[in-house]
Amino acid sequence: MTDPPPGTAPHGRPPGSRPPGDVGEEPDPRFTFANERTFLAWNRTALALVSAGVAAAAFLRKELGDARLLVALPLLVLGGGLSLFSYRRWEALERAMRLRRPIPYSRVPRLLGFAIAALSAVAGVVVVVDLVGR
Amino acid sequence: MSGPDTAVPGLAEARTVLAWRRSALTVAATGALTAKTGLDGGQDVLGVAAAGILLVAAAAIYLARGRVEPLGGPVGRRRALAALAGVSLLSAVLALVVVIASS
Repeated sequence: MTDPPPGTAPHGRPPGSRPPGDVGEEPDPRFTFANERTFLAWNRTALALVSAGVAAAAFLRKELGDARLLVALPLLVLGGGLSLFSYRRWEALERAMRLRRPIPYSRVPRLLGFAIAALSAVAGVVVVVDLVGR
Repeated sequence: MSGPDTAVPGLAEARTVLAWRRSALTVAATGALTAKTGLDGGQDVLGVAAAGILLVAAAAIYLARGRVEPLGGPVGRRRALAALAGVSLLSAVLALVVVIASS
């Protein structure tokens, strides 16, 4: 019988399917705290998007009707999705650090930037149309 | 007599505690905004209930992780982070319900 490869348990489950705490070895505490703070920063971004969506619904005039929801609902959905991403990202980084592997690349920051730019443009158009129509 | 010096260099632990506190305050602010949206939209019960849930969650986060303490191991840390991600997702769902009901 051969020894399991590094980073895998004797029962054979690959590292990617186990909780990050079960694989590899504990990294430097500074990196652990930094990863936790990065998760918290992503999570606050998600909460900020939710707050922005709620604020759009609360402070845009009701007469705008569906245009008001066009601004608010995508922000709420984006915030919910980002809260899930924040945890998945923390898990992936924790696993990579414990296994001494390179930090995985993510396209989410770029996509988030585009999404926020697009939603800002939509919100700007809604506000201008509202001002012109008064 | 003092024990061994186990402090993490760079005040990493204190900065992490402050980050948890900011997160708890953000959850509370989201709850307050949700309440305003519900009240303005004639959904008093829904808005106050959603805000109450989020404010209780914010208090729990603040009290549970808002003090300097040992990490509690990888399992405890993972559960705390998963719980906060769950609260954020819950806030998005509650906000969606309140906004749609208030429209």
